[in-house]
Amino acid sequence: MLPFFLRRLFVSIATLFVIATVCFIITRLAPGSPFSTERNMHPEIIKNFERYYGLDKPVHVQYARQMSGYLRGDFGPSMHYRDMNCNDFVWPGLRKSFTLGSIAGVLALLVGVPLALIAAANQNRPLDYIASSVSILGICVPNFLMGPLLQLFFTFKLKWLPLALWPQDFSRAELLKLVMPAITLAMVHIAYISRLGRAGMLDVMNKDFIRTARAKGLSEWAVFLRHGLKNGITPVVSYAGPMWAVIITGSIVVEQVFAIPGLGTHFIKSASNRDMNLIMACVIVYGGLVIFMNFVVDLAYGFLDPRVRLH
Amino acid sequence: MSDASLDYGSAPISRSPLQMALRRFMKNRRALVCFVLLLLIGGSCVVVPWISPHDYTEPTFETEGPDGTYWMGRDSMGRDLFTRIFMGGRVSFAVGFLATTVSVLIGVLYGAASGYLGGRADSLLMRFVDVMYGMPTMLIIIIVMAFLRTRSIVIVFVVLGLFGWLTMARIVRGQVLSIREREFVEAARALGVGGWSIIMRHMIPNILGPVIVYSTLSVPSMILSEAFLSFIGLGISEPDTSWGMLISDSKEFLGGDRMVWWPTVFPGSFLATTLFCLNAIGDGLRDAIDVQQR
Repeated sequence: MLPFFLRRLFVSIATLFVIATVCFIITRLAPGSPFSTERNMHPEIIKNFERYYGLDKPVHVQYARQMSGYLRGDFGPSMHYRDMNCNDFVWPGLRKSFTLGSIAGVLALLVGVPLALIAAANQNRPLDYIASSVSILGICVPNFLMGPLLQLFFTFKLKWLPLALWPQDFSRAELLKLVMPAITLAMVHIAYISRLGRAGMLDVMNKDFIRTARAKGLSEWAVFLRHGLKNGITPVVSYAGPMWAVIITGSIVVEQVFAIPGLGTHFIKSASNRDMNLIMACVIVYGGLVIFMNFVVDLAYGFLDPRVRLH
Repeated sequence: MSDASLDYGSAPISRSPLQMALRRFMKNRRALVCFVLLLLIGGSCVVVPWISPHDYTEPTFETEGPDGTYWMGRDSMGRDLFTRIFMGGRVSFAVGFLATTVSVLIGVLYGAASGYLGGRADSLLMRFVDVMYGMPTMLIIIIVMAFLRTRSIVIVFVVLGLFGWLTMARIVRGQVLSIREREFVEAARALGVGGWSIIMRHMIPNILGPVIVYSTLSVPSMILSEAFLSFIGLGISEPDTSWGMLISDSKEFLGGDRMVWWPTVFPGSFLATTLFCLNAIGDGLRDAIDVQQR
């Protein structure tokens, strides 16, 4: 297990390094400096700004400075919000995005798996069709459409839920603000999980060992849950890994729709402001999160299925 | 094959695998209905902006719901939504199909070359794909789009295509690896056919099935990506529009107290219907072509 662990760890760190480098190249290749967008700035002032942020140095020096900063956990100063450090944006933003993403991920599993089981247990009966419709809805209604639709219905029509923004404290009224963003973010994953889970369960329930279990007189529910579930759910497990990366991309949209000042909002803003340091900070944190999740899932596989370790 | 089994007199009708797949596809009622529906939406996108009495950029500065003149209401600047939806549909479809074409071209050539060359070149090429797979592609697309000053339709589909070929390359490589060792390729090689013609004449026709299926399923995801980019303001720019941008435009009504539902619901239902149809057609093709997968 240890060599497998080390190899995966090395690959993860290398990937993160590649991401940081690619991002650095894109931001430096782009024409214009982050300050040229502002109106009527004297060229001398722009020069001073560039000197202050080290942009007048040769590219390899800039690269070395950035990278050594990241190793020390310093993302550097923001180039748009003067006097602010990128760390002041990234970490509070990540906390919100991560909270939202985790709620959505757990919600997706808590709703998706039972939906899959209900559909599989009632194959080609009304309950199956209802479950399939939910999953088709989730796949065909993207989150940037689902969010506004939920807002129209639950805020404008029914006046049940608050429109947007992030909760300020843990009171009930404030926590209600999380409901729609979490559902919006989870919807597509509920759809895929229930679909994959249903297919996996139906596949397994036709296997010989299930017939054996039935033959020894186990009740249908015991067969279904104890023997079927354990094997039929594997497609869902392998979906749950990459799911986190998709949740993170989705959270960019959901943060826009519900005006949540998370990492995604900072990322989009920094990209349109050409705030190089903040862009890189956001991408590295996002990339690190995705890679970390993949790393954990890989380890879990290696633990569950020893064959994986050989690759 | 019940229709041909009793017909001993004549020679058996020979059908190519693709013809057989087409017959199976035609029996799939859901996929067929979706195909017709998609043609209908696509056809309307071509025709409606031509014959519509309202121009899609002509403002009336009144935002009102659907009525006799403006069938699907008017947007924030009072422009006719009905015409705008079909105008936006043109962009969404164009980006979806063109981006898929770009990604399929790159993916097929890359995958075929990798699988055909084999050995060290193959592992080098595929290692690159592995590294790209580990990257958060959408984030990089967002940065690229943000840094490009001009954002035309061409840029959007080229960028989406440039980042979307990885899975196709993997699929094609796997297929080529398995076909490479087959007898007919060996025969061609023995006859002195060059590497490039073997790829073009013998390999590509034989890997067409999975390529068709995956391309069809890639169109909705490209449409979705374009809509996503336009929604966050990094896709198509005014005066062009697309379904994602129309949905994005509806955001500005959320602050008010009037319930303005039409700028969200109408473009949204066109987008959702199209995604549904494309997915259903893709699934239908997969069932029809990859028989062994079932």
